[in-house]
Amino acid sequence: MNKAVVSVITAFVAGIAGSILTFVPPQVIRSWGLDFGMHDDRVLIGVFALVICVVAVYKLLLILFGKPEKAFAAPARHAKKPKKRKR
Amino acid sequence: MSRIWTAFIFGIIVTLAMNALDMLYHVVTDTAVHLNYVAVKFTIIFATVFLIALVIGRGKTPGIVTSVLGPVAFYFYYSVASPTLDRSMFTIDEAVWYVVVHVIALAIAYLLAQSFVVKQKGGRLPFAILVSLAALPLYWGWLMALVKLGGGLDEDTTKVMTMGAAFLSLAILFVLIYGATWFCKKGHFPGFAAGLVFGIISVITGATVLDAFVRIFVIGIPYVLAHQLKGAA
Repeated sequence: MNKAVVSVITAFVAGIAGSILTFVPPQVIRSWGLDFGMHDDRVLIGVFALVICVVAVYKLLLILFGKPEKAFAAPARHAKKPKKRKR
Repeated sequence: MSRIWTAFIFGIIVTLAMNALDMLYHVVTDTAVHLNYVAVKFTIIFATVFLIALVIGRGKTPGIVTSVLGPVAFYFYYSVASPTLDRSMFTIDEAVWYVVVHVIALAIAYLLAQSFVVKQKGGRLPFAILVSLAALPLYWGWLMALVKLGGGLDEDTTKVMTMGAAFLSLAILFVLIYGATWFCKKGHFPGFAAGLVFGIISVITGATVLDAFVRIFVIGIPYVLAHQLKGAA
């Protein structure tokens, strides 16, 4: 699947889940039947999901508008040198 | 070294160093250093540093994004989660101002790790600073865990370290680690040797053998991890 599509889906799902778990009051979450663990545990998981959402959006922006950092790129010494043209 | 492992080590070292700077700021400004919040802070900041290093990479722009995103996510947690410490007795870092403090601490730790240790610039000094900063929260957390294991309350863990003791511990850790890098440039042995000296010092000053044994790893683990980061692409 296209990386941009994966980023969009990840950002959307993580953003929705994170927002619900973090910002919806515990009473409402309980009424929806989503009350796993303690309130603080749900908030922590929600914050994780929000971080994943932001990272996915950042990745999407890089795919669309910029270049990723070269931190994990192969060292330059392994790259083949371009051949000189003979005139 | 695999990409995940490099990002994992980088996340651990940067988060520990950031926590050390933050804890020092707390003791200087007389705000509580609470075990639960330190644990949550470590988890959230680590997740941010790790995910961005893994998915995006490391560098100037990811460093800035990491430095801002981690503390902001942490502030969300603070604002929404139920308090586990009596706020009428203890001041903790939940004010908006502390987001800026956390951003600065994380940026310094990130810069130190990425621009000096990973790129191997500046020699032994940045390495020793980073490892001693990374070792301090482990040591501090161990002392807080000891209080908690001994039946102490959450409030008691906030009184484990005074400002003088915190800076003295950091100075001892730095001297030991810097000395270890002089002793041997390569390998993981110097880290554990420094930890052993730290353990012996603690036994002489009245600590138990178990406490001394743990202190070997308090220095040894960050030393080994930071050593693996040297030159990591």
